[in-house]
Amino acid sequence: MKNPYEYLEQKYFWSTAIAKKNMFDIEDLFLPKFDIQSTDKIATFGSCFAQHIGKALKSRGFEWMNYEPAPGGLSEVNAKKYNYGIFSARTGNIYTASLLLQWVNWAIGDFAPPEEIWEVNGQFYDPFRPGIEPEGFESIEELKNSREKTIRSFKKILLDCDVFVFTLGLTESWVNNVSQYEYAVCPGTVAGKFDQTIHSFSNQDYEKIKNDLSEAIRKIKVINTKVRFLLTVSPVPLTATMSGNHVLVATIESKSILRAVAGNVSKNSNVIDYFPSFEIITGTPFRGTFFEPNQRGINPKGVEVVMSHFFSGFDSKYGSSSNKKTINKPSEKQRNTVEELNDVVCEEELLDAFKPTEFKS
Amino acid sequence: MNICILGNSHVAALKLAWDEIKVDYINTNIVFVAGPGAALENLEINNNEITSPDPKTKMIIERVSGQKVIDLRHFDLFIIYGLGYSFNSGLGDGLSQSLFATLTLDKYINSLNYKITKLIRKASASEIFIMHTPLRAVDESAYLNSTPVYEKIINKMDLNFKDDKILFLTQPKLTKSTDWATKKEFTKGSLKLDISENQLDVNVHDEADIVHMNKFFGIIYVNEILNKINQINKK
Repeated sequence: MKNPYEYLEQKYFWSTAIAKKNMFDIEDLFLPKFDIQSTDKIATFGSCFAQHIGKALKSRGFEWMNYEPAPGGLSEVNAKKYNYGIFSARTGNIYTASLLLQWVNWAIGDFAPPEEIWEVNGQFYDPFRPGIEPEGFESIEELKNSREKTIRSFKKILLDCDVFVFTLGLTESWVNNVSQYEYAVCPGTVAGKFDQTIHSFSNQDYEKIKNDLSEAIRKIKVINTKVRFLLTVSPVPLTATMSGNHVLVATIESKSILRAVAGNVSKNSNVIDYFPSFEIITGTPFRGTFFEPNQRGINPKGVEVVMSHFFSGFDSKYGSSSNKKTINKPSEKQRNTVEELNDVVCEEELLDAFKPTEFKS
Repeated sequence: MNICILGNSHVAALKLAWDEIKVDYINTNIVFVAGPGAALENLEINNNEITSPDPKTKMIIERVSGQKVIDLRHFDLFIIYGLGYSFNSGLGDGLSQSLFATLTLDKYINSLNYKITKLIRKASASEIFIMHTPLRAVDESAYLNSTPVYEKIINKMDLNFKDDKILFLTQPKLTKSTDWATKKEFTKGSLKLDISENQLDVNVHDEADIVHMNKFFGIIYVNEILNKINQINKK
């Protein structure tokens, strides 16, 4: 009688699936649980890397939801500067599961956004979207109106979307230790002033992230029974860490926790899937090829390879049905678009400005 | 003072106004170069003269201006009116002032107004005034809650072009009902730009038209412009 391994296909063995292959011939990394049709409304939120998924979906003719589009007449450069078309609504980066839960709670009305607003030289900044307006807001009213519009758009997305793609980015977070709400980034970095009596660092553990992500998903499913979820983990290393560990050690720990949570939350569900962008970029078979020289940013080739695995996963399982626009490789024009737009909007990168002076470029 | 006003259909209000008030400004001469819609898209400047390779555009320019040759060197000031530089609404729906100012600049740079401004500036060093299409004569209540930022936005436009001797004008306060709207009375009996051969056509805009203004609007605007020029010259 054969042992169980003898029944396995080549892809389950490192030797045949990896070692004997060129990295670009590695296949079957993504076996989706459900199909995505070009008519499905797809929302993308999360950390910086989520932006690539939204752009790739859009460039391939999928129904990427842009529920807070830039005003007509605004140039592409300025639309990006004002964070339009980056995510499905103008939330800015949602780095943690707890921030996602916070946005969901505001959208469904379980909690109201906190009153805290940051003021710098007479301009006002949203603690939950500090980089959303490059020059800040002229008034508190203007800031609140803008945020309300985003919350309304976010709620409409939760109600309408068929697929909610969320990219987990960080475990490290900053909270208001009086009211326990979470900031998008550490106060005093992008904007605001740091006050150690109010602002606390929290490196979230597996249980908390799992609970917050599960709760966010549960709440979304209450108001939208048809929604399916696609989780990813950002392969982009931390810009800086407050964990006390070396930034490399902190990065691996954070990403490992996020990866484990994504795996656990999706494991037993037919409507929650996991896409291995993290593995494709960081896996040893790819030898760091997809990182920029700073070994942090992801280069355009990496984005292209990740997204080709994404689309070929659907192709190999569900085929190229007539109502799917394309799952072929992007055209030259589309590839240029991917490369042009590869410069993602990432508030966390501003932490780099606070590194020791002698290392600043 | 020789002034050249270039624009589209909105120029009609200024021309009708000028016909009525020019007796009060004996030292001022205004030449109008205008065509409906985007008729000036094909405008060219050759040897300091305004012309067009398109016979129809050329004909319209000649009829409206009443001149065969329009030499840029003759003018002390150019006013470029409308031509796609417009505000469809005021600040609202979650837009910040900063974004609105950026949007205004982006839209202006993509407008025919900007294209013609660049043509003129390339050929002449005279001052250029830029006027946006009249604010729409919408219900006053429409933008009552809107933050008053109109002048700030125009001032920001000014800052972008201050080194080029280009001044962005604000619509006279007397003509406005709110920060972003023109008083409805100024749309009554507004006439279309007359491009007929004998310049005797009288075509009134539809009653529902909320963007084309009448002679009375033009009188207020032209008087304000000429007063502004006086103030600048005194300085």
